[in-house]
Amino acid sequence: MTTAETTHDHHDEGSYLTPKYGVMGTIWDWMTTVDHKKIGVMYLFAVLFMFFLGGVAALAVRLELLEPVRVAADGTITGQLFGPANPESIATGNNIFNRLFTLHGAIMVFMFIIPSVPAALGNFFLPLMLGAKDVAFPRLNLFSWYIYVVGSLFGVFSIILGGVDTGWTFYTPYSTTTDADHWRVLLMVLAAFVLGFSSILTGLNFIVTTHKLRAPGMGWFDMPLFIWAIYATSIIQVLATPVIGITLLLLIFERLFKVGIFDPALGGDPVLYQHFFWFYSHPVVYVMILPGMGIISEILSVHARKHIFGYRAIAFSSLGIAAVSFIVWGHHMFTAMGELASTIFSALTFLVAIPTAIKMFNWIATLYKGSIAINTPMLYALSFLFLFSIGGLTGLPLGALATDLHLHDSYFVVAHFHYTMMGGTVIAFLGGIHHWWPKMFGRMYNERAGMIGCVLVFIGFNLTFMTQFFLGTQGMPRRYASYIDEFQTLHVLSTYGSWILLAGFLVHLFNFIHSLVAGPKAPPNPWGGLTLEWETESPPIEHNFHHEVLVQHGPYDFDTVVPPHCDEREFPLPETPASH
Amino acid sequence: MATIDAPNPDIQATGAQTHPLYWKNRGFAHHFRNADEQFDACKLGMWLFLSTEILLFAGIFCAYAIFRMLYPEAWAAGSHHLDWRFGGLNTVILLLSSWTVASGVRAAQLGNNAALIRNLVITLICAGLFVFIKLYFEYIPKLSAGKAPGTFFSYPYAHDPHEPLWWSIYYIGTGIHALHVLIGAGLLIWVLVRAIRYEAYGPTEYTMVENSALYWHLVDLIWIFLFPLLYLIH
Amino acid sequence: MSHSIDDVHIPNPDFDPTDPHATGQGHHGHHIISAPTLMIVLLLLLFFTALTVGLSRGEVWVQDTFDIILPNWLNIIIAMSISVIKATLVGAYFMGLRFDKALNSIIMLVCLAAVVCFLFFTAIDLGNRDSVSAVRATVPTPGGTGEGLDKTADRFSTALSPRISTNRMPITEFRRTERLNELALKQAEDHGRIEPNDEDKAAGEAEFWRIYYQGYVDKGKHPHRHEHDEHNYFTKLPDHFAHHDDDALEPVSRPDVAGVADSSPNFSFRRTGKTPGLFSEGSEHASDHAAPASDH
Ligand code: HEM
Ligand SMILES: [Cu+2]
Repeated sequence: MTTAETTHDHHDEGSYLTPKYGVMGTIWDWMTTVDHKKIGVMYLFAVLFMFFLGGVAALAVRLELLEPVRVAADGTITGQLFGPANPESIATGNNIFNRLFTLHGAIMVFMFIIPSVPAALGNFFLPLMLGAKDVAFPRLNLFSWYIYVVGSLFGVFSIILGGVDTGWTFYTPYSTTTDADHWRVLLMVLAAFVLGFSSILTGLNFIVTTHKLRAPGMGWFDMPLFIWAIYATSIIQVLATPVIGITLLLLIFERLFKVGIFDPALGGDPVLYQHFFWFYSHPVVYVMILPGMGIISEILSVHARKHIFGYRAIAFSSLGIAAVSFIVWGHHMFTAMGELASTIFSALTFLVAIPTAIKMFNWIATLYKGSIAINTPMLYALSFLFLFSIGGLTGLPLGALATDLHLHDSYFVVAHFHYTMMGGTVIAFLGGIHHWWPKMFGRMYNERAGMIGCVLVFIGFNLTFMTQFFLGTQGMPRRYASYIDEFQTLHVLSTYGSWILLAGFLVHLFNFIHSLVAGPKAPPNPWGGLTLEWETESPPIEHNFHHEVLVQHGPYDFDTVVPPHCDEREFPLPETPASH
Repeated sequence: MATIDAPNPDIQATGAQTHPLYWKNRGFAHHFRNADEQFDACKLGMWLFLSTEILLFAGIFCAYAIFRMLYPEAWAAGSHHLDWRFGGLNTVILLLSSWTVASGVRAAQLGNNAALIRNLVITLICAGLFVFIKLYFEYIPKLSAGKAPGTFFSYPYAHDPHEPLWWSIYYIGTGIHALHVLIGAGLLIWVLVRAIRYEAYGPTEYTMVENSALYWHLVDLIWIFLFPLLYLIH
Repeated sequence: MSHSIDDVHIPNPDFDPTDPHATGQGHHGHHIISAPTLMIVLLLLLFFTALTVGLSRGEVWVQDTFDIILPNWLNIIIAMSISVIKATLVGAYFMGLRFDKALNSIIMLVCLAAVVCFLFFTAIDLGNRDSVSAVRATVPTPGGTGEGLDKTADRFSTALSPRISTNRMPITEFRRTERLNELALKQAEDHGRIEPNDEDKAAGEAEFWRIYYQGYVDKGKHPHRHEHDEHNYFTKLPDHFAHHDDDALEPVSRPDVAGVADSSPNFSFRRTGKTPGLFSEGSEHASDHAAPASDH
């Protein structure tokens, strides 16, 4: 890739990370920054903190489920983690359990996974990959980070006040009547409402950036697939999130004023709430997964040194998923709807599998005959392929009306969405963090530690959630604090798995800290990538590029182009470049 | 949005024209290639924002449609309590204000600051009138007669048992719409103040006028649908 | 400021009407919509407003004059078609979509497509509960169950709404009972009694129904809609008004198919064998009661 001299160059600039003022000045500088890179990093730390909070709740939930709550003949209670162990306190224990899984779900969905990839990595890399100096509306970008923080604070505050026991779905009429003597539920609903705005603004910003700020020479089909994925995600964010806004607003009215729209006592319809909720929340599962899929496209092609297979198919399938996601929401409410709607939604649900499978096959074809480097990002990408296949395929029995009536609200559903959200998005997110870590912070991480962490996460994850498929098919319902004795073996395995997962995350955490403190300096292009972010320094300079970028090759032309800042001996071109 | 204030030393110092916000002194943010691109980006952003607003109202329209489908009688009965003359008057007011605000954009494009100010003032008067009619002739009399949403409903002569639901939809729909009227008016006031104090808008710099106007038209658009849905059922 | 977006470029400020943004590069001009166009659009919008009001009044007139009841959808179709025309006018001219980048119109269309999906599929579900098997029909308690409205905590409630106990009555009925009691009490007071007797109660009720139908009397109209309306709760009230008796309808009940009669929205029943009513004789009976009265 060549760059052209233009009038506004930024030769003498340092890294965006270089502090220019004193301690307070630097903090102020970060808090008021409009630099997309700093905002991306701020998002990264914020969402990782939320991941930690949600993770603690998850571990607590698993710990409670290590043993079923048993009442012996003499009245002694075993297996109850929360609350005093006497028969009267079982309800208290259950109550605490309900609050824990709600806390886990709400934090993970609204505060971690939705903003995770788009807001953290997207913010940092979208303008870089487009060859732009910033996102289209930098101040709006900062504003949306603050909205995110305020929303999260509402949520945390609600938890400090005692938590919410509605589940992350806030189904009415339970959510409008529970804890009637407290503001907690309102606060949590308000948190989700406010976070929605942050999500909308980020999506809006990215769409405009993609349309208006592509570097000269970059057509739509010269964009990296990560951008396509983020673009499709943003469309969903912009179109679906307002509906959750009005839904939660109505819920707030319902709680405060008893307006009755969702309340059967006043002639309203609780199933209407479910329609409203899932009109947003189904598309939002693709807000979670699409950016992850984008990361996988990048990692696989760079670390296998292969042109991505089926570029357009992957790009259009992102848009296809976005489109289809708006007409399948009913599959979450098969037990609540009439047969006609259920049948239609069931049929439509199968459509989703098509674009998803297209991507999957293209990725696998990309690996074929590639020179695959086994490193942490690649291991994560391979884990993704494996885990997300399971997640997606188990979606099909859930989408089939006949089987879902059995599986609905069981651990099978829990396992399914963890395979998609954690096995998919979180795994891709971790892969992406490793892939771009040198670029973001200018330091290499320890490859061996990274791979050990990845293997631990992979094993721990499968142990935790594979068992839950079996529990679900055998009839273990979700959101229960206890279970029949027959389920204990699988539950115990699952809980052990969660500890292995924790170990894996801790390895990563220490690896990252070590890298920041003592990691070797990263070269500008450690993996030999061809997308524009590898063109600039590691970490990037203040205004991203020294010169205005002019795009002259595609993002995946590994056959024909020597990567920028790289030695041809290190990343040799194939012998017969034009043979296929 | 990202248009930033920077004085242009070449401009002669006469009154507002030295101010960095004077339209000729305005530039564009460095991450755009030119002012046109910035204008297009801002407008694109605004249209995306408008589509989120439409989807927000879609929730209310959806609840309306479902309940009208399920309880058509309640909707007819509820609508009988509304006077189409107030609704119609408000429609005319909003249409007029949409016209003035469109003319305001035109004035800005032509560099006619006086006409811009005039049009904005008329628009704002319309906004005030709209809210006044809504509150004084509709909300207050109805609420004091007990025609209120949900458990607040205390009107004993309901013709249909689902009437409280109608009132819920009515107040939430028109209430959120009225809130948008106020937000739109707030934006227009801001534009007005800058137009008066700095002559901030002219042929090369009218993004804010255009976008506030778009917002205002959206408020009008929503009302175009709300009016017949609420007032003209029988 | 370090990373400043305030690093601005000042374009040549000399105004050239053919080049409003004075950038000279990649320029396509901004359409300035002419004043007459704006005026014509405004007049059209006002005309359509008058038209929609006129047509809706016209429908009422037709109903009253010919003593017929027009189908419900007619009103919606007419009103919404006119609204769509008006919205298109506003969008195309006032908002300038006609002269703008196609992208902005596409955004609107995509957004409207999402709205349509939302309305369409939600309506499919809630409007067709009974179309495959009648037992799934939503037979809501008219006006709601009224249950749990007074369910609040001991300490305080975050709900700002009045705390009422309706005795499992829908709120409309509850308010009506309240007013009937009040009126009876007033009659008793007028006659110097403390407890209203039957006579007072009857007088109170008469007063109630007088007010109830006052609106129609004022307009010199016959409240015919309520006679034909099986879903109007008040038509089912016993003998207040003679003409209600003529049209008295059977009370709504669930279909009398094996195992179904004794189920209610609150109590499920065992579903074994064929879906009741779907293939049996009872199907006709089962479905005709359940469809909400959407037209007359
Ligand atoms: C491959 C296509 C997919 C299909 C066909 C599918 C299908 C389904 C179905 C039918 C359910 C409802 C199960 C029930 O409640 O009975 C469900 C639940 C869920 N799915 Fe998927 N899914 C797919 C992919 C995904 C992805 C990619 C994600 C997220 C990244 C996801 C996240 C979820 C979540 C969070 C739930 C449970 C929500 C709740 O009830 O709390 N799914 N899925
Ligand atoms: Cu779904």
